[in-house]
Amino acid sequence: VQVVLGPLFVLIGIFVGSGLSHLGLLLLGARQGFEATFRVFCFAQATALFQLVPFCGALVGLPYMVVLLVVGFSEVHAIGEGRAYAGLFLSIVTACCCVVTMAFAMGGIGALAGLASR
Amino acid sequence: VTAEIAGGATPPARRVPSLRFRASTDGLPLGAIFTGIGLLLGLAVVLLHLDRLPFAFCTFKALTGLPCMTCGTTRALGRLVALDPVGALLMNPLATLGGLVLVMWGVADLLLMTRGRALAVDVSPGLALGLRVTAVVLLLLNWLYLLAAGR
Repeated sequence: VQVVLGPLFVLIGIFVGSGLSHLGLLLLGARQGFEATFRVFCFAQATALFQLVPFCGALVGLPYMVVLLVVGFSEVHAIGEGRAYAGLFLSIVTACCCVVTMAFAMGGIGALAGLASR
Repeated sequence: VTAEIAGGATPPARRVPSLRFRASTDGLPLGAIFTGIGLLLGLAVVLLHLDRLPFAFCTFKALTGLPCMTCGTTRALGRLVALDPVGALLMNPLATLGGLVLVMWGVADLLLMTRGRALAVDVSPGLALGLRVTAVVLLLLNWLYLLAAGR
């Protein structure tokens, strides 16, 4: 199921993530349209390659992705890095905490269901 | 004109805050895309009964016992899909209104897509500042409502 639906979920995740980030950046004075935020978000997903390294991959990849997002947002929207970080943080705090927790919980429930079926 | 005749500098044109909708030929149909994603999420909420779980997924609520700014959104989405707009509004007014605006944007995009266009919005700088302030005030008012309603 993941092989078939995985790309769709990734696409949805990128659109939702960049949409929320763009809303946060708009509140703080972003000057470009959604496409600019979307492009930065897509480029920053390259750090997902770090996930290939077990255990410590995410510890390196996630902070590096935040750095890339902040630098990218500040460049494309011509705002300071502080504002870019605040916009990203705002979107995560106001909207993503529930979504991320839900994603982790659903993943955990799926893993438990998989273990139980063995 | 008077200033030019008098030899003085031309007074700057007064900018009126404006909001303009137009059919763009080079933009993405974002309204249709996000409405589609919203419908998929709504289906997931209804099929997996995510709005009737006996526990909360919200980290903020788990840590503080208070609802966060978006608490109730999943339940509001479930009520919207079940065609209960009043229940959705009572659950989380701002998220519901945002969802309804998104649906209207999506419908407009779908209509324009038949002509290869997408809805675009131009906001003047003066109005953009006002919209930012309004958005922050609405977020805070909505959060106060959620706190009072105990979502």
